[in-house]
Amino acid sequence: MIGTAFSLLIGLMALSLPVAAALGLMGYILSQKYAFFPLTGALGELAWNTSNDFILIAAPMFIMMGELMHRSGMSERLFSALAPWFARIPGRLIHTNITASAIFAATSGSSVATAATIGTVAIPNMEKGGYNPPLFLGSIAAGGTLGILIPPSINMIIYAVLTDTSVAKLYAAGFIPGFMLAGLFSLTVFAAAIWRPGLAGPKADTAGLWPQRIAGLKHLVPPLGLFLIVVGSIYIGIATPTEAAALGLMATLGLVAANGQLTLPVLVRAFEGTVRTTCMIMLIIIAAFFLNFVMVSIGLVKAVTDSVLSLGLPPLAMLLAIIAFYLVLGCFMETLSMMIATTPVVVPVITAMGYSPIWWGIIFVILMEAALITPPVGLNLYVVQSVRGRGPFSDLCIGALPFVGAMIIMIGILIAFPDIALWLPSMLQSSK
Amino acid sequence: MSTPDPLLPDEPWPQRISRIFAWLAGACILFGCGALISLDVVTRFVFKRGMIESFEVSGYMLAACIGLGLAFTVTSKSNIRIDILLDAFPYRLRAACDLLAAFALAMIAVALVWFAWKTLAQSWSMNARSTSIMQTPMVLPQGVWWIGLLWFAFMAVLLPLQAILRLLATDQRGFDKLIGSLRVTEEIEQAGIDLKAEPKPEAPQP
Repeated sequence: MIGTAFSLLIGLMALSLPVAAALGLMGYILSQKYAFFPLTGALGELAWNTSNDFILIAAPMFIMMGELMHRSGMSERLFSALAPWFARIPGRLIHTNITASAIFAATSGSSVATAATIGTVAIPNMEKGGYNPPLFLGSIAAGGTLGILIPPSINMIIYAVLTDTSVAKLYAAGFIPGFMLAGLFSLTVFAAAIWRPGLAGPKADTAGLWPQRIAGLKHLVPPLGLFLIVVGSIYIGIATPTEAAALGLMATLGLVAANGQLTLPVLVRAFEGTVRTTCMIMLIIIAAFFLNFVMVSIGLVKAVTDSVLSLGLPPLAMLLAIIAFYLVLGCFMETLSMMIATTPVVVPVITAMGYSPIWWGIIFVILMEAALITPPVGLNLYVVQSVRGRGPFSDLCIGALPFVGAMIIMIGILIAFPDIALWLPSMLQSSK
Repeated sequence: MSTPDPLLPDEPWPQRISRIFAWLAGACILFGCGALISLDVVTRFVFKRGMIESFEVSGYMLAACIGLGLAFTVTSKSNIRIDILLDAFPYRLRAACDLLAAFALAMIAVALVWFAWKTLAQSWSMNARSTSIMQTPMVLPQGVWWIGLLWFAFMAVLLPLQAILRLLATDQRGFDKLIGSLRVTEEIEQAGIDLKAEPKPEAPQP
């Protein structure tokens, strides 16, 4: 049964069927072949319940926030405010890229939005400053991926719905690892700049930095405010994660209006972009829920878990194998569909081995981040390349590599010290 | 790309209807979810009690968005496929894969609308209402959702049939435009990130 299911999935995907169609067909075939009674009748009810799931509503609102965000002018001001602070550190603007991404990530739930927004502001400075293109561009692509690890996060919302875990706890768990990973990125750049000073560009004029630094601080207010709205409001206890997303969307709309960019065409294009992404994801989620229902009903999920456990491998070895599997799969598959398609099978295995689903959620999101910047299919690489508009694509592939290394190190740290992720959520639990 | 895109691009009427449905779907998210929930949170914060049943209504709005918006994913070719192998194939094989993919999606769409109909019909015959104080007749939100799904299924079936006609007329480009795999450049364009074209706001001088 496991063999049939696995080869079916690979076969349907390799035929380049749309992911949602592949999952749905697989559910249908498995149900015809193994179920004692037809399971397809549940599809209508299942589709309806998924379509009006209150937690999932947060996802389209974050997607729309991402569509609107680069019109708000927030990132330009954030970038110019941060630049003077890193003017004396080897790697200068590259650290600015990473820090601006990390701060922006704390207001945005999407990696693409983060990379596109920071890229637009940063890339014109690359040529002016004489930076090494691969390292500079790689830092933007990698920094952008922080969007889904530092809360809020679209991926965490969908993971929470698929695994029936708490969005608030996942957000809390992603917080420290998110900023640690940003730190690791910066450390990577610092090391590169020390090792080969040429990579980080010539030294620039650093006179009169302090007035600039102080003057720029006021531009940190909008992102900080937005962060308080979309994340802070959850922990103060005035909003659920979905309500916080709604407040964030309205606040972003306000920022766009304040920037004088709120026009009908902007709004309509944002609607189109949001609907395209939302419906594409929701169709996959509906198909995945149906497939999951079939797999649980015919005992496939249990069979997979049992057979993995019966291998008798130590949990750590199994965990490493799963991580390696995702690193490879991530090179070829779009991240959200990869996440939705595999979570229902993999997470039961992880929890059966005694790991926390919250902790795995964080590792999983870091693996998704790696998938976003590993060629040939790495959406963030293409986003940054398209913002750049010229030059070889290989610059990005090479430049992203050291940051993939940093992600793998971060995963290692999380395996060795799970409390880095689990400490904040446990504080949350004891305080309530 | 120097002239700004018109709000409604020149396109056949099924595509145009799908696009307008997508606008409605987007409005559902912004006004029906974002604004409505925010209003509820604020009134709850100020007056200690919510004004509207945003919890329930926003769910219906998401369902309406999904129903109305799905057709647009067909016309804009947004349904993710793992097409990395496709580039290496000769044209005929690629076209066969494209057709197969489009028909697979059509099958799913038809199945979805069929089983959704059963759910709707059941709500109708049982006169089902939501369990909240609003006691919404379930036929209302499910009806909007279902009409969207019906249009989605119609488009998902129509496009591959049109594509076959174009194939018979040896209109390769027309075929690709209809159901060909989304190229990376197209994808980036769609992500709304064609930043070269749009006027950037002036970065303030520090």
